[in-house]
Amino acid sequence: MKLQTGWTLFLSYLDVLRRSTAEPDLSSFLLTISVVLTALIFLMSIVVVILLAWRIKNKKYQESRHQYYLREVASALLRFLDTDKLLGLPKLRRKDKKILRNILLSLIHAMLGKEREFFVLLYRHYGFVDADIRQCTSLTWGKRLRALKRLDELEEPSLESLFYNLASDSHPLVALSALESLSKISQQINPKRLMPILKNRTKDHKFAAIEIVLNLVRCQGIESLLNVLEEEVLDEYTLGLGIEALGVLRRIESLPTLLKLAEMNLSAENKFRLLRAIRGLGKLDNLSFYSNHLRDQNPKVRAEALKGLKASGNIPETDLVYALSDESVEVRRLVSTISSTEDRGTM
Amino acid sequence: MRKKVLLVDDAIDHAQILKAVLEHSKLFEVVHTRSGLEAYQMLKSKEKFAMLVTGINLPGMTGYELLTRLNAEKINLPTLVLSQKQGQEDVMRGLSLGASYFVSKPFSPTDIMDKILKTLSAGAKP
Repeated sequence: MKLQTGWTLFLSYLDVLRRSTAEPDLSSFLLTISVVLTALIFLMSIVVVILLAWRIKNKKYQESRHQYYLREVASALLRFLDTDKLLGLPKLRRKDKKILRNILLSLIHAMLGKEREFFVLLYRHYGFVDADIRQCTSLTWGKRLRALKRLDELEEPSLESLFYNLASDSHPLVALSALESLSKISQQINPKRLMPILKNRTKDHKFAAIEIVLNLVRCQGIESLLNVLEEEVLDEYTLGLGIEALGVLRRIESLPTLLKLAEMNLSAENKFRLLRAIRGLGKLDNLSFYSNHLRDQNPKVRAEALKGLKASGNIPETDLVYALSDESVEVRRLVSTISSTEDRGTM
Repeated sequence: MRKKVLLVDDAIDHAQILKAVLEHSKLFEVVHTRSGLEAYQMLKSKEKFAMLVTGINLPGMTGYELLTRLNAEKINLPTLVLSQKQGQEDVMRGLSLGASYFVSKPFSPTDIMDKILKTLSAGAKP
């Protein structure tokens, strides 16, 4: 139908041209435009039809190859379970690499034990690991990130140095993903090496960084983090990260370290985090620790000290009187809230 | 004689591998379906299954719904729930609905086979 309309238009256009004078009038100009537009629409619809046909054909091909490779991988796995060797592996066609890679990644993600071991071996055998490592040096950050995510699935300790390098990547998403991978892969990761990398992160990534530190603690125990906080000279950001992580963990064995850190010359923000972390551990016998912080320059710290005193039992009267005359409205408001709840409690 | 196991999981890749491993042992014959509803219809039909291995997030009917309906119709079948979640609530829910085991992904097909064998040798339900 479209073809016919286009053809009719074209013939009438030729007719107009033949009959027209040297000066083209408006009607012939409009006709030219409509002919060109019709031709364009016609060509575009042909392209769309070709693309759709190619897509359908390609999808069908991919589905059939997916099934084929899945069967092949399954039978290779069964031979591996019997013999412990990589026997009769599926032959790979060049254009099917992506299909097999996706199958293997999905299986590596979902399986455990000997089966997973086999899929990782297969992934390595087909050179996907080498290809991913090469892609990690790509100039496009998206490619680096995707390659990193694929390697992350393998959880191979041998990739540790690669992850360390990527942890300093110029793109924050790649760097954070590398840190996440690092925190997952092995028990031997050295927090001393990891913490300085964390300090390069921007504040937006603080929560992700804390998550990484927590993963590390889950892997290696809290002592590794406590040692780093006590023994290493850390910048304020990294220190804050460690204190925040201890606050989330709420483990009583972190109290001596937190009290030791309190003696250091910390920033107001870190003092606040420290007091909050200590308050999270429950009652503190040494009330003078909080009382001293009631005299701090920062109102946020003073308010937190007051909350700490409240959490440790009744606030000493002298401290309460001192806080009542605090220059910060927030602190004074907190005192009145605490007093009113205490009054209600006694009533 | 091979025992018939009904495997209900919409993750085809994982199900296919699990099916291959189970059938390779020559102890089981695995019938795989993706949909919970289809599984329900199969279980209601005359076809006899020795065990049900089901996922949770299934098209048509969830794994929990499937177990609830089976319980309501008193179709007692040893069941293993295969899930991507591993929250205590999910486990409790699965077990309270009569599942013998609750396995969260990632899983090992050979481990699952052991669990199926244990369940079947222990009787209908532990």
